Amino acid sequence: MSRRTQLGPALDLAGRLWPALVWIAVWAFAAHLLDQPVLLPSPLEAVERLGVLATGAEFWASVARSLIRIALGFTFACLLGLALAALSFASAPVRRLLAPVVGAIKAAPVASFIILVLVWVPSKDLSLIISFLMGFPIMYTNVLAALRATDAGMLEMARIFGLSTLDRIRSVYLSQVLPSFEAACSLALGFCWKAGIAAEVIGLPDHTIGDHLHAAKIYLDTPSLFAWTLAIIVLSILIEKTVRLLISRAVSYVEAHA
Amino acid sequence: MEALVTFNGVVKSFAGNRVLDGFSHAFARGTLTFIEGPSGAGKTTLLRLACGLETPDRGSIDRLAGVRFSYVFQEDRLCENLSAAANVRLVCPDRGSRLPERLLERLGIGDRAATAVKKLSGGEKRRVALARALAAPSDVLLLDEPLTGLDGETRSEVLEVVRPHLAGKAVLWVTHDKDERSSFEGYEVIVVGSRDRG
Repeated sequence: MSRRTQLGPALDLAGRLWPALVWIAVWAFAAHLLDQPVLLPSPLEAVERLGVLATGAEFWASVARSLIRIALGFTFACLLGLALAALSFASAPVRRLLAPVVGAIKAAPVASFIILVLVWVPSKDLSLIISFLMGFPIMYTNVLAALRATDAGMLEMARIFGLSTLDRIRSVYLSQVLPSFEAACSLALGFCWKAGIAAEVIGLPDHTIGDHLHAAKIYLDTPSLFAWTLAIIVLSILIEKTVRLLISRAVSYVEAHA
Repeated sequence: MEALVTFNGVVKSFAGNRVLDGFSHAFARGTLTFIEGPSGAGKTTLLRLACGLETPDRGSIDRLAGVRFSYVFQEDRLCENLSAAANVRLVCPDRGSRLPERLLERLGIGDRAATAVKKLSGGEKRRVALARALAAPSDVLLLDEPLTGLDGETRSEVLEVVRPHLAGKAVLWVTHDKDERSSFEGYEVIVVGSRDRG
């Protein structure tokens, strides 16, 4: 084995990490120049504070509360988006009926929804509803577009061979929809997570990530603000990778066993 | 002989180009008809009209009640994510049957039966499409250049597999290659695009 081949994975990792390292160095340099942790803590201070926070039970309880509600909103968005897209594909009146609703959800600023939803429901349920509202139009639009772009040739094949409705779904529609469903899940997840946290910052449900972010801002505890933000970014990456893996495995399973 | 599909003075045009002009013919059970002609002459259109995927501009097409069609399309039209055997099994009335595996074996791709179609070569996909058409219960078999993408030796082997499946059906076989019909007897040739009848 050549030395280059042996070093391959290390070189790949270095290739991926260097841009992030450059920006962390810029951050550290700016914090050093400014020398005011209230305005800009150094990366080390932020990581140290994250370490302190992560040793407390409150940190993990808050993460779990936020995560569960946003995950529920995302799951409902996926299920309802998929079901209504299938219904809209089968029925033009349903499609026309839903078009203004989906259009309005897509066009309205998330802050409007947050304030409106706060009027109707307790703040603890806010992130669930907001993440649902962010994820639903993405799922609905992508799946419906995939269904409407179904290969006409495959539908002719199904007709000629007299395939049953169930066989049409598994052999023609599923293969058409699954790649779009997978892409929509990945896209919706990021939106749900960020909008869900933003909703918590405005709605302030107790013992959530958003609640802690808000408290850090009120008390000018900038290192904690950066620490919670770092936690959000790390969690976002972990959740996305986990969900993508799960969805990809589920899609492969459905393709193989449908 | 029982006419399964009858064309009565069928006229069909595409983008102002008249591909069939008053075409009349009865395709009966137990007959093999090769359809030849230059590209764009209307060979595929004739097959699509026969099974109802296209409607004539004028004239009529009569199909015997309950007639069943099977088709090797010009494109393979396979479910790419399903295995070769699953694609064939999709059209089998008996889902537990070993017919798909047996047909794929005889067509020389038995070892690829469990492989997803998206991983097969062009020639292998063509044979899966052919196996599917042969596995489906049918009265009319429509073959649109079924041997495209197969080399000379494979073509001969595939023709031997196909031959017994043609009996008792009306077979419409589109081809560019006159050699394809040389191994058959008692067939009819329709040349579209020139008004000549072979």
